[in-house]
Parts: sequence; structure tokens; C-alpha cells
Amino acid sequence: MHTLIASRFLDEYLVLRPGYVEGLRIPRPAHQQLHDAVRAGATVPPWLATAAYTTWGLDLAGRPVAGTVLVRDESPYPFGRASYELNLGCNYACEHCYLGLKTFAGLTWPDRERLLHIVREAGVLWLQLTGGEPLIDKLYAEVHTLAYELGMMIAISSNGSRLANPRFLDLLTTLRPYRIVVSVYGATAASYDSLTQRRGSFAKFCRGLDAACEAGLPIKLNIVATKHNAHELDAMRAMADQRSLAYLIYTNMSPTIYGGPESLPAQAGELLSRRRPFTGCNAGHSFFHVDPHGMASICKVGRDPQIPLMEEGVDGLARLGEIADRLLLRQGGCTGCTLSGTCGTCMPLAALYRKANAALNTYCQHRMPKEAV
Amino acid sequence: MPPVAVRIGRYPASRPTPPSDLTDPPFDPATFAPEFVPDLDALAESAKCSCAASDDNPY
Repeated sequence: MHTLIASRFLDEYLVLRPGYVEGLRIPRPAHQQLHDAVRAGATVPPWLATAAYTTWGLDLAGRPVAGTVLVRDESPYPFGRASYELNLGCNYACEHCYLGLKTFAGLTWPDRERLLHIVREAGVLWLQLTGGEPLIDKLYAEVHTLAYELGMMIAISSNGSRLANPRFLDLLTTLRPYRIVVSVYGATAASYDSLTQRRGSFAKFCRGLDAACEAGLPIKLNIVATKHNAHELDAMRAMADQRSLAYLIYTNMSPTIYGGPESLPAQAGELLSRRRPFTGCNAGHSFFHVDPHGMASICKVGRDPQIPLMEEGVDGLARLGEIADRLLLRQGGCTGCTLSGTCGTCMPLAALYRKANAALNTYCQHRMPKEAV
Repeated sequence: MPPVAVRIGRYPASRPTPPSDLTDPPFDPATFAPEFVPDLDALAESAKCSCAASDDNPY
């Protein structure tokens, strides 16, 4: 298996080590040199051997480029990142979940293989594997392994319940992901299990988190503060601090991907916060999302229209940019809004709030207190 | 010798552009010095959806 990846990323060329945040930006001719070296059976050039030692402590001198550096072919497509929902199924039943119907369904392995090759062909270097809970998907290990072999930096979004499983620990320490983002749903069993509606889930989360930390995996936490656990916000922060883990806090609940309101009652009213002004988006341009059935969309929010990747292949992605431009235009009641310059809700998300008949103050500045606008 | 920054020119993101269309500025072949990137998150940020659908957001 490769030690490094050399790849174009948008308008730059990079050398990366899977699972590490440090990287190298290289000139295009240097990338070409590596590409040629694979064909020629040459050894790692001195500039890379030196840089790899300095950056990652790797001794690559004298090693062949082939087998050491996975030099990715340049993609004619403009994408650099993508997310792939392996399966919407989950072992929890959180009220706030934006997925609504968490149906267990996904592509067969041959189709997933084809999908991952399409994603690679599109130029994706960073791939988020998500769900549902991706680690309960029966083909997770196969997907992870192939995405890694194809030269993608893997980010996993997980509830952490399976991280103590030796099979996963072995996989994740061998084929190291760039990041594992673990959601935090409470600081005590009482609140956590109440939110997930699964007895024992807090214990599983703690075991998984501690096992992953002990294994040195690159963990980051997403603290999800809802009405079920808002009183434990400081304690959840402390959990992260005690483990020296970076974290983000999310306090605004969203409608489901179908525009359903059932996730919104989980909102802790006192934690509803104003979003940063929306200043544009790369969704559909350098980022795309793929659902469990191989349907591509500009992102997880704006899922309509979708492109059937299994039918259209990578060429179908060329239409996403135009779709994104259309979806992001202010429309309906937002057309001509005088506050659009400071609005923090993108149009696809606003459309879901509207479909869910959500309270206006949860997504629109016109109903926020004046001092907050 | 300092690293050489090679910009290959930005193209409309929605239009796939073959690499052969990209134009390189003059390049000194003796210089392959890479530039250290301490935090790839910042670099990868440029390709994220800016509102919600990122690795870090539950949405």
C-alpha cells in the first residue's frame, strides 16, 4: 500500500500522507516528475525524500516511487471534496436527526466499487464517509479500503458506538483516515441515552471514544446541543478538553432532508443562534454529495435535482455547477429580500424550513430580535 | 532557493477543463522545492460548502 499520495487539488498540486494534517504543496512539474518516475521505475527524488523526512519523519530515500507514492492522474473535473452516505440506517433514534426516515438501504458492492471509481475520476481527494451510522454498514470496511487504495483522504462521520470494535480499530489504524468526527449527544447516560433513545448508548460512546483516542486516531468532536442535553453543554465541553480534542458546537436544529418538521422540536430555544452570513458556496462546483443509491447532488441540503451516477457516470457531474447556481438564487418569499446580504440561511436550507412550516425566527432575520439582526 | 509557486490558472468551476488547457508560467526545472503546508484543513476549506454540508457539521 502507498505511503504518500501525490494529487492535483483544485488549482494546486499536493503530496499528502493519509491520516495526517501536514502536507506539501508542489509545483506542477514536480507532480509530473513523480508521474514519470512511476512509469520509469525510478526511485523517490531527493527533493521528496528530504521533504518527507522533514514533514513526517519518513525515510523514503532509495525507495521506488511506484508503490511508495500513489501518483493520481489529473482529473478533467473540478471537484476536490465529496461526501458519500453509505446507508441512512442508524443504531440510534435521535429526535434531531435531519435524515428523517433512516432506511437501511445501499448499493451492492459492485456498484459501490464503480461509484468510488467515479468519485476518484471526478478529482475528489477528500471523501467524507457518512450515514446514518456508517460503521454499522455491512460494507463499510470494503468501502473504506477501496477509497484509501484509490488515493483519497477519508473523513468519517460517526456516533462512535463501534469504535471500540477491534476489527474497526485494526482497519482505522492500518488504513488511517484523515479525520474521524464523532458526535457528542450528552455528558451523562441519562441525557445521552434519552436523546438517542437507546439504553447503553452512552457507555458505548465512551468506550469507543476512549479506544480511538488510545489508538491515536485523529478524532474531532461535534457537540450537538438539543433540548435533551443543553444543561450539559459545559460538561460536554469538558469531555473534549479532558481528552485534548478539538470540537465544534451545533445548536441550530434543521428540518429533515425531506422538509419534514419532526426534527425541529429538539431545538433548545435558548441555544438558537444566528448563523454567519451566507457569502456563497462551493457546493456543486468543487464539492458534491452522493446518497446511498448513488444519486449525486450539490450537497446534503440541496438534494433536488439529483444526478444518477450509476446511469450517467462521471460525466453527469458536469451538470452540478449549473444546478447549484440555480438552487442558490433567492426565490419565493426571499426574492428581493432587503436583508439577504446578512442572511445566514442558504436558499436550499431556507426551502426546507419553509416546507417544514418552521417558525420564521429559526431561519429568517425578519423575525429575529432587532439587536440580533 | 525559495519554493516556486506555480499557479495553473483558475477556470470556471462548473466547466470541466482538460489539464491540457491549463497554461503554466515558466518554470525552472532545477527547482522542485515543495512548500510545507502545516494544516491541510485550511487548504481543503476552499472546496467545502460554506454553509453546512462539511465534515464537521452534523448536517
